[in-house]
Amino acid sequence: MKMVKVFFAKNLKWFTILFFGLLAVLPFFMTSNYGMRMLTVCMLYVMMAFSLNLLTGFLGVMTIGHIAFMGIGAYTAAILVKNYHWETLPCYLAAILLSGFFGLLLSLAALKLQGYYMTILTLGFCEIVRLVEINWESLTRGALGISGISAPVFFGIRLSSRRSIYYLMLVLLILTLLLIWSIINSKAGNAIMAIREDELAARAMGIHVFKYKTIVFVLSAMIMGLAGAFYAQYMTYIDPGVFTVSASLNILIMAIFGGLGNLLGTIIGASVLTILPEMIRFLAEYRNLIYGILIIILMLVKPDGLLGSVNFKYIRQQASVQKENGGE
Amino acid sequence: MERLLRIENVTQKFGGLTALNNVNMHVDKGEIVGIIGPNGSGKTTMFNIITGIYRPTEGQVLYQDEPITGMEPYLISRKGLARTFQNIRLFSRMTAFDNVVIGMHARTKTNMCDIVLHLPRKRREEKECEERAMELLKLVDLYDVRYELASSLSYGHQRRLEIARALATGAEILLLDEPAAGMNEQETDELLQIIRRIKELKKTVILIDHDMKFVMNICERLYVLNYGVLIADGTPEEISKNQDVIDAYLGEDDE
Repeated sequence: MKMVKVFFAKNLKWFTILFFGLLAVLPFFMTSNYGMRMLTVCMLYVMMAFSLNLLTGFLGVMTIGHIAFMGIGAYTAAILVKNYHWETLPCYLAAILLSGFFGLLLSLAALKLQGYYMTILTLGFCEIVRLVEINWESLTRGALGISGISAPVFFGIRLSSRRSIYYLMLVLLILTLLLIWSIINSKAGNAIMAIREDELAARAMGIHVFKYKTIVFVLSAMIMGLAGAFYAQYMTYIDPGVFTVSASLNILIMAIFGGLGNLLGTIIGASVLTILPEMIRFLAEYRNLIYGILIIILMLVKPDGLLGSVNFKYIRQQASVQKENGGE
Repeated sequence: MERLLRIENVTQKFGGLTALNNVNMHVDKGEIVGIIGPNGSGKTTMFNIITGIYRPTEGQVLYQDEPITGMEPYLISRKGLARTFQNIRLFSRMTAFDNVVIGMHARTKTNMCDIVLHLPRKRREEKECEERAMELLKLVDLYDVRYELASSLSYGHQRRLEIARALATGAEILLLDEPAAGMNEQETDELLQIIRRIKELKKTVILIDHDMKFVMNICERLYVLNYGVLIADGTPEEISKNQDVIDAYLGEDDE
C-alpha cells in the first residue's frame, strides 16, 4: 500500500496529464448526450470545489455561502449576454471582476472576524446576495429568473454543440487547476498554509496575513464567478433558487469528502458526489438516505476526508530521504 | 559596541493591572541577554511589546535608533527581530523544512506574477531558499528529520525548529521565550551548543528562562523583573549575589 502511494506521489504529474488526456479524448467515444452532460456538470462542480478548497482547505476559512459568488458571476454574464449581446469572453471577464470585487469586500470582514464568526458571515452574505437577486426585479427579473440565455460565442464562433461546451468546460477546469496548483506550490502557498496553521506565528515570521487572505478570497471568488458565468450560458436559464446556502453546503461537502487541502481529493470528492446520486436515481426517495449514510461512514472511517491527511509532496520528499539512507 | 535595541520607560497596563512599570533596557550587538523573574513578572509581556503584539501604554522601543513601538508584527519581523514562543507555535501540519522556508518568506522577492507565470525568479529563489534552509536545519541538528511533519517531532526538536525558523527570517536579534522549558538535561545541553553557534554567527540573542543554571551558563548580562518592575541588572555573578533578586525568588526574610 505504501509502495503504491509512493509510486503514485512520484508520478502524480504524469497521472494528472493522463487523466486530463483521457477527459480530452472521451467525447470521441461517448455517444450519449446524457453522459456528456453528466461529465460537464461534474467538471463544473470540481472547478467550484477547487475554489472552495483554496479558501477552506488551504487558508482555513470555512465558508457556507460560497455559491453567492457563482450567483454574482452567473447574473453578470446572463444580463450582459441577454440585454447587451456581449460575446462570451468579455462576459467572463466582467463576471470575474465583479465577483472578485465582492470577494474583496468579504475579505475586509475577514480582517476582523475569525473562525465560526467568519463562517456565519458568509452565510449572511449568501442570503443577502440571494435576496438582492430575488428583489431587484428590474435587473434580475426576480423569482422568474432569466431564461433564453444564448450559447457561448467566442470571436464570432458559436459553441452550441454538447461537445464544444464540454471542451470549454475542460479548458476552464484545467486553467483553474493550473492556477491553484501554481499558487499552493509556491511561496504564496506556504504563506497561506502557514496562516491556516497559526496566524500569530505567521505574522511573527514576516507574513503579511491580510494581503494573503485578500488574495485568496478574491481569487476564490473569481473562480466561482467564472463558474457561474459558464453555468448561465450552459443551462440557458438561471433563477435565484439555484444559489442557496444548501447548494453551497453541497460543494463544501464535496471538498470535505475528498479531503481539505488536497486537490486530487477534490476531484474525487466532487466527481463521486455528483455522479453517484445520478447513478442511484432509480432508488427515488432512498437516494438521499444512501447519500447521507455514505457521508456518515466516511466521517467515521476517515474524518479528514478521503485524502485530507495525504500530502503527495511530503510523501515524495520522505521517499527521497529514505532512498538516500539506503532504503531503510 | 553598537547599541541595537533600546527600551525606554515602557509601561504596559491591562485595565487595572500594571504588567510592566517604567522599564528601561538595552541590548548591544552580539550580546546574549537574559530576562528572568518569577511567574507573572512581565517577561513575556516585554517580548510581546518588542515584537509588536502589544502596543505599550507608555514608553517606546527603538531598534537601531528607530522607533518600532506598536508596529505591525510582520513589519518588525522584516526589520530584523524574530521570536520563538513560550508555548511552541510551529506550522504543525507542515514539514520541518517548510517551516524554515516560511521563515524566509519576507526575504524573497518572488511576487504573485512570478508565481502564476512561473518566471525564472521563482525557481531561482526557491533554490536559494532550499539551500539556506538545509544549512539552518544542519545548524540546529534537524537535518535528518527535515521532511518530518513538525507535529511529529519530539519536544526538544520542536523547540530547536522554532529557533531555526526564527533565524531563517534573517533576524539580527533573536528573542527566545523559554527555550529550555520542559527539556531534560541532555536537551538543554544541546540547546546551549546551538545558542553558542548562533552567537558565532554574530547574532544577538535575548532570552527568557526559568532554568537558573541554564541562564547563568549562557547569558552575558541579565535583567530581573519582579511584578513588572526592573529590580536588577548586571552580569550573572552580580545578579546571583543581589539581595533584591534573592528576596524576589526565595521570599523575604521576616526578621
